Amino acid sequence: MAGVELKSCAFRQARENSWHELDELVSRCESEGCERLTTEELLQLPHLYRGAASSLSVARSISLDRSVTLFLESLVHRAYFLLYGARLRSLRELAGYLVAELPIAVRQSRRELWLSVAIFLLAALLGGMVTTREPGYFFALAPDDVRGVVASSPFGTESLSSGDLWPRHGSADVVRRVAEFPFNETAITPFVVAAGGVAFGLPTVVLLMYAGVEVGAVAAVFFSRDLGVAFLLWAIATGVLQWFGLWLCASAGFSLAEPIVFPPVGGRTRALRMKGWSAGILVVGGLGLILIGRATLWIVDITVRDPALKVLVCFFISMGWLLFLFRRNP
Amino acid sequence: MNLLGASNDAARRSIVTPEGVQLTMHVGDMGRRLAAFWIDFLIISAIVALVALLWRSMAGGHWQVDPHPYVAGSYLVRMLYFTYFELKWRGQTPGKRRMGLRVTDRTGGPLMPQAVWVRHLLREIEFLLPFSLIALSLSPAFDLVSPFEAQRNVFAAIWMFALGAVPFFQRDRLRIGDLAAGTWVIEDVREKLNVDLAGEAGGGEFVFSEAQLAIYGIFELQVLEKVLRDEAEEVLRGIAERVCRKIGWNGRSVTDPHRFLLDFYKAQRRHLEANVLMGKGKRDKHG
Repeated sequence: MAGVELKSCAFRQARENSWHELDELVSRCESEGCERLTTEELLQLPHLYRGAASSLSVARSISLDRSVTLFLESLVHRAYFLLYGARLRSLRELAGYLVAELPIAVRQSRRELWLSVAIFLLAALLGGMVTTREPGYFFALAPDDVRGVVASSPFGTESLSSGDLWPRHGSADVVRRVAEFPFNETAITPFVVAAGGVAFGLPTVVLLMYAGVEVGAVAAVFFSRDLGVAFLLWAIATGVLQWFGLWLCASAGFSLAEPIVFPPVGGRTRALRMKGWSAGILVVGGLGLILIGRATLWIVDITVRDPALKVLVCFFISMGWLLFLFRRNP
Repeated sequence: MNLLGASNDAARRSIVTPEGVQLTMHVGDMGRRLAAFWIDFLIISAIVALVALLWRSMAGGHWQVDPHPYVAGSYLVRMLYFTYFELKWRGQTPGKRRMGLRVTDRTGGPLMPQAVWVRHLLREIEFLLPFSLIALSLSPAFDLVSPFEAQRNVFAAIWMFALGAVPFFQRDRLRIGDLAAGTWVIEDVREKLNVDLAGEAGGGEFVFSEAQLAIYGIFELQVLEKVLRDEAEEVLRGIAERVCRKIGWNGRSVTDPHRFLLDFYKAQRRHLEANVLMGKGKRDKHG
């Protein structure tokens, strides 16, 4: 009896060495990273994996040795994720990936983007009209730091003069405030705007409107003193990247909201997953744009002296970034 | 209802690899996931504290009284931390690695960067934003929020905690972030190969009849295997006695229970494997 070997034992003895070889390679990959393997070892990996996978199938059908089955399952499991899990080697690769995918994601979410822009502009109009009618509302609507620009009454004369389009606080102050982004309360807004999509898109709409109304209120003040056009030029030049970033985050939010609010035929889960991926790219792109916008503002502020030139340079840099990021054929 | 969902059959899921092999995996239970998150949270807090200290020294030794910068700054650190680790380590962060968990795509595909991003974006509204909002609105030292805003924040926090509770009730333990990203968190496995019990030389002292081998099934065999590997002498003795009684052993008396059980194991395994090949595998002693 002792001499007759079990079929499963023979099977195991024949294949055991290749399993251990795979185990060793996978362990080294997991602990050190795959870059440490030699080329021959890397070429061996898929071959050994397929061998282990077939061993697993065989073991499941003929062997009752639980240890072997469990071991092979774990080995194939680990090797599978090693081979089939995508890996991005560096942050640069990741950035390149984002830059390539962003235009595609934007094109796919055109509807959501237009919706965000529309809500924002409508709210701005609303804010502008309200402030024009009732100047007192300015203090409720305008953001904190702008409130300081205008004196105690919205029609105070000392703080706004036609030649000075840049914020009155002075360079050092502006630089400090801008450099503190993202350590700034408005930094939370884009995240909530994007993530709020799962809450049926309500936070997205509400926060977009807040942002729009703020801009509208401030614009109304400038318009009331016949500086409206100048203000618009300045705002567009300096703010376009940040607004675009906010709009992208809002479209991410609406992308997430769509399968939740309007459950599609194939089921919510699948649609949510597809929309979720594009939302992920949009939100990172949006946050990136906001950061770039702030950084551009900061750099231009400390390098260029002339206020009109600042506006011009800002405008061209912003347009450059937008054209680069949303070019037709990446 | 098993809220924490410890690892068992109910947690088992499977995917089929391109080679046609079915891989089973266990969905990670909430206890472990919370522990992994806690570890990551501690690491991130340490990093944020470090950055805040650096910032303070660069800004001339003044602490920022306004809490908003910490909130936003720590968001950036969190996002970068999770993105970096989950992409570099194929779905594991230091916390998850310690607890033996891994984030993977639910369909078995590769873990895409956008999946990682949207997972973490939505994590913010589940836990960290309500946490920060509550901290902001309830902290008396910061006179920054009006009563209206404080109320709004608390409502928002309640809503967000409700979203955060979703995985406790969801079958696959999916967070909102997992739902949107198409991922789930599974247990990472690492087994080592134990020596083959049936391959050991020697033995054959005890011989069993077909009738005696027909009593137990595959389940008992595998329990026996586990017992033989792990258990102590006294336990083996007790089990040997039980087996003797069950199969009606009337051969030599058992002085060495380990030897007896090992021979029984070998014989039983040969018997059952032969049956399995014939398609007559017996699941357990009840048939």
